[in-house]
Amino acid sequence: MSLSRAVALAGAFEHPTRWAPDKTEFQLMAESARGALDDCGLKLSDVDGVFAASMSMGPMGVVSLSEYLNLKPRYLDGTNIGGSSFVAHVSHAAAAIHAGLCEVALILYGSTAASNALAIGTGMGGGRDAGASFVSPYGLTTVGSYALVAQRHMQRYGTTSEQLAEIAVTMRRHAGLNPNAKMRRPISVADVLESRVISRPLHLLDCCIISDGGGALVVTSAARARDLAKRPVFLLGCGEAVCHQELGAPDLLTIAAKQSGEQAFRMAGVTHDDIDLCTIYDSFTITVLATLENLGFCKPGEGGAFVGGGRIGLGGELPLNPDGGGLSSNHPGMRGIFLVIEAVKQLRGECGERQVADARIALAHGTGGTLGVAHSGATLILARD
Amino acid sequence: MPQKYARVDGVATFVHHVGPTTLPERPPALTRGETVVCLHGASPSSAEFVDLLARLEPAHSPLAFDRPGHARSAGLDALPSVARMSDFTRALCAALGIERCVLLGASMGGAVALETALAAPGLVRALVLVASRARFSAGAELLERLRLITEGKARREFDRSGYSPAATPDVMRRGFMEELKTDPRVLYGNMRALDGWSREADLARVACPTLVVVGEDDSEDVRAQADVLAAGIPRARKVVIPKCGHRVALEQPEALANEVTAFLAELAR
Repeated sequence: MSLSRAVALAGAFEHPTRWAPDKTEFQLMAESARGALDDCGLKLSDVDGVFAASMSMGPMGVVSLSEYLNLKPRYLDGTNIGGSSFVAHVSHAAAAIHAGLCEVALILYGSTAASNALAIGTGMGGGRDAGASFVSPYGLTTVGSYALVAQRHMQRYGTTSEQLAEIAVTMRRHAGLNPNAKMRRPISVADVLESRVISRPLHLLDCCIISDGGGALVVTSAARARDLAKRPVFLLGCGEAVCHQELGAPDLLTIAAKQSGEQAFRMAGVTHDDIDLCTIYDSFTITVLATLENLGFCKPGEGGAFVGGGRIGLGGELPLNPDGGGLSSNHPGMRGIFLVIEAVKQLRGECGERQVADARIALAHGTGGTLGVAHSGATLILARD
Repeated sequence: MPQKYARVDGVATFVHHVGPTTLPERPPALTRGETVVCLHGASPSSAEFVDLLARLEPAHSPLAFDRPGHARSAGLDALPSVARMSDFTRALCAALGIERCVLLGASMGGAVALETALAAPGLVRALVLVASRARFSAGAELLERLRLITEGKARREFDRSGYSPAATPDVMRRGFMEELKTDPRVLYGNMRALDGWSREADLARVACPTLVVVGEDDSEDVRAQADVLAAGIPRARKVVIPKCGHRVALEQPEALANEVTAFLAELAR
């Protein structure tokens, strides 16, 4: 029996906080767990699978977290592949549930990146691993590496800063419809271009914000989800991938989304035209552009034109991140869980002013690590019926 | 120095206090001498008072807190008006079980203290107005500069202005590093809240004893405003701190503590 449609997302909760100096990561995770379980009408004692990751949890963090929550799960997954981890957790949970290793999976994230004053984009991730030790000594930063990808895109295809700015402007417009978003005041393309350059060609407003936050998802079998409080959202397809230095000759513009997206589409049995909305990791504007191309929504090099003309805005052909994304709503360092939460809420029709009309199928894609160097990608295709 | 969070109007509010630590839901033990609630200015946070708090600790019960949006307190934006900041101060006092206290306000904090003394005379036993004013105007130029910072079009620069020539780089660095903990949009919000605020016409109604403190090297404007406060408030007296600029608690905590201690002793008589 196929995994497609066998498993559903039953509960989803995004912590409303964007600044929680008085809370710990585990506290945000616990509050989010309560939110997601209440959302679907399950109890903590129903949970038998725990999945979690964060930037400061140790390698055994999911063990301590189970103690903190007083849980005795029979399935544990502390996979950390960067910001895309939680998107991957959904497919890992689906596999485990499908195989009978657990029945109710709780996926958790919490972070106090902003109130701990973590400088995420100007640092370099993965510094302890072997590959990174050949890169970090040269001073490449996270934002610097993304800037490299943007430079390459501009050089090869003539993509402009105005086109990238369009993404930031759209995300901010969406955030204006999200009462919990951190940055809600509208901005224009000119505002983005006039904001100071962080790493050429990326301006401040091409970069995601840094916030605190947390979120939780409850995944269970499709059969059990049908009996729960909220309309289930079914997993149609999933995929994950790694993209790396290729022995020193990386193609900066081919990213992990290509492989994970192809796999997810194949498994889901749907086409790009079937997708009603996307939630895409937007650590920087270029991340969105590169992801859309690699997922196949447009051809390589056409991303700049694709994001213009209101196509990715609410009411457009392919609404993207109606919550305002990491560029304007929240970004505590590993944003993947919010992509899934927003997709679930959109498919349920719970999004009020920012609701995508009649959303039936959504695609969520998370990027982990840093484009331009080793990174991961995870894609989900979800459907409401 | 003990620190804790208090829930005030739904905002997790960061409090520096002295004396023993207390359980999370319990207020600090404010049993010694006078309870002195310190109100910080527009860009700093409660951290500017830690040296003062340490010096007042042996005889009194001082505390300082971060207003919403500042440093370690929750909230993303500044409170929208001086009146709301005063309401918040009263709510904080209520949350900590403070029925009567001395309010010490620095710069913008002085405006909040003054506003509170007028709105809730029963709460305010005395005022200490440090480098403060009876009226503020931010000016279009400053507001525009702050707006540009919030939009990423200008940088937040290391700023020596306002300090005494006698201030060491260390003191200025401490002030700047602490300011960086507050989002620039909070400072912008504070300045908009302050712009046009005036209680000059109400000074005669301030009934409590008041100490007006100003640094010898503060701007001419602030020094003149200290005279306005001292002349307008019936029971006020003024002291000038030598070798001191606008950030009195940071630059000359010892001298400020001595003046405050003497003032609190007068109150007890």
